[in-house]
Amino acid sequence: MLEVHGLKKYFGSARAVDGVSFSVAKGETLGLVGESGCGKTTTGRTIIRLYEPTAGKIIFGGQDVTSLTPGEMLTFRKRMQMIFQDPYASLNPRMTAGDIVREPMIIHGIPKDEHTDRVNHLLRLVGLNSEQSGRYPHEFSGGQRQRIGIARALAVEPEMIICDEPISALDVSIGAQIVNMLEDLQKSLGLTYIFIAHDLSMVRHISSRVAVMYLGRIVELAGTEELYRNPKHPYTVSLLSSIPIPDPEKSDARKHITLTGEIPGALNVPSGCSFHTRCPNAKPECRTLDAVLRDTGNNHLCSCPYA
Amino acid sequence: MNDDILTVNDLHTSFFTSMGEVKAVDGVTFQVKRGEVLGIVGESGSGKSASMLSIMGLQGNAGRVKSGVITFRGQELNSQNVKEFRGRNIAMIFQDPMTSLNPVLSVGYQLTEILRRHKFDNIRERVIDILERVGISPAEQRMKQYPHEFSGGQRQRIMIAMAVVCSPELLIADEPTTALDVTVQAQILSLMRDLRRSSGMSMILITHDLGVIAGEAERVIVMYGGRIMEEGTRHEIFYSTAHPYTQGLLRSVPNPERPRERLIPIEGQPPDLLNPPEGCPYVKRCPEAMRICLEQKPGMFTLSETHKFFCWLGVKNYA
Repeated sequence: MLEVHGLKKYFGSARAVDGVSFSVAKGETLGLVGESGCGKTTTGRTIIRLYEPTAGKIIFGGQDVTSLTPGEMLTFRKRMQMIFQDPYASLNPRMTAGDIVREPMIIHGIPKDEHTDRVNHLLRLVGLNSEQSGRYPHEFSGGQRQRIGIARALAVEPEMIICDEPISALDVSIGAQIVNMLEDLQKSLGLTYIFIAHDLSMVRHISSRVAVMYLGRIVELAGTEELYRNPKHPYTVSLLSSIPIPDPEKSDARKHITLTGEIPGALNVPSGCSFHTRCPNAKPECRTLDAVLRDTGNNHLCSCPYA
Repeated sequence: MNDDILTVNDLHTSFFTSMGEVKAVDGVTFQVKRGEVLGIVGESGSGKSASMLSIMGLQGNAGRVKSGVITFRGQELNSQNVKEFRGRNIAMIFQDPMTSLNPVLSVGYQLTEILRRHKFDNIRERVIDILERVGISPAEQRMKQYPHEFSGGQRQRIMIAMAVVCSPELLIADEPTTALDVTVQAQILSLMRDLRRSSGMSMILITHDLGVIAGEAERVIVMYGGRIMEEGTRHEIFYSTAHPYTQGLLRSVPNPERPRERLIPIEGQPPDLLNPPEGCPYVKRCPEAMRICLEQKPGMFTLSETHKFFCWLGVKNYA
């Protein structure tokens, strides 16, 4: 469904995304994880063409969408939509919930006489009711606003949705409601997701495959259970060992691999393998070697040559 | 009783807004023992932060502690004497280090000021020592730098240094790692563990992250809608969960053993503190709600010396 080849996005001299390649099959969920500044959000936004890629190719449904005319862009956006992290900032406070969901239908030329029925249907689909369509965003809770954002994304019947941290601003009990709803919608509508998040337990729950990013590059990519049970890259290993486990005995029993330091910025990406400055197993060669993703068997890709 | 460094008895704190009175803390009672880590879990509007601000006398102009008794080392706290303890004996760290540090003063100056206010001597040595202990080194050079010259994790280390520089007996940490990435969170939690072990200070750790609670807290209080729902040791809360809200919270996160299993969220919306129900604040979302839950606030039911919960199921199942 989606193929990304050597995607780069630089902001000035900041290499936010620095050569990322992966594919997403129809109906699956690819999890994209990593810490702040790793480029996961920029990757998502460049794929949906909110940002102009610096280099690389994006193939969506067999069509090269790297450079599109405005007309083609409109057709492309009808097929790929996005939901955002902050349900407070991503809805226009002066529009009613119904108008927010209706707006994409107007933009994409859906016949006017269908709008009201579709708005009501979409609001019900995301667990709101049609009487709420006249209310403004501030009259809803955070979880309900995220539901409006999802209804808006679904308004043009897209095939793929990029979910950028859709639950990180929500309370635990509400986040679970949204995750269940995204799973149900995926099944009933055959949607394909890229799920961008820093909550590694939730990514494990929802994703079929997971890509781990560090400083603009994918360092490891594998089927979800393969990656979580058998992480190979030293960064993934330490990342997974840092997830707090909501179980006292398991939490006490585990070994922490505490990394020193923090991610260097995208402005001064270290040479060679960019993780060598924090890697517990770093060797002198790591400063110069070319850390490219390679298949270690079982479709498990890893960029560390010593893994 | 002498074992308790802090006691809070029937605390009620309200915030007065243009929409009306928000009963943020609605009858909260708990104790913190010397040297222990008490975890407080709750979602937005649970009253966990408002309780802590009330203890510190920092509820602000819109907030008012309506009733309740707070004691520290056996002495009752009031709006006057709390100022002497604050920063010296009871310290607090907040979620966002950037808004809690003064951007136009060097880190060394901000630390020095705290020590001077509390009349310490050997101030420079103490500042250097605490910065080294929280991993900001070389401290002599870095103390001249300003907050923006540090990364997010380093700023949180500096916040911790400011909180513990006077060797407080109680540290209140309000979501201290929520704004941080997981690998940095692990560093900060381990730093706080080391500082606690070497000083014996007590800590109240407030978080919404059940994983952090499971790893760090000895006892746990679960709050919802301004009230305590359940209190117990870490093991009691996770393995003998009594309150339907705590059960709901634990089912809302993926089970590490069965990561793909469907989540069981708590249905409904967060509590409306402007129009709280007459009875239990959780009644509208509780799958086990009974008629009495609508009408009357449940009392405390004791399951063990350490484990209690506030729920009418206590009468039904345990009485």
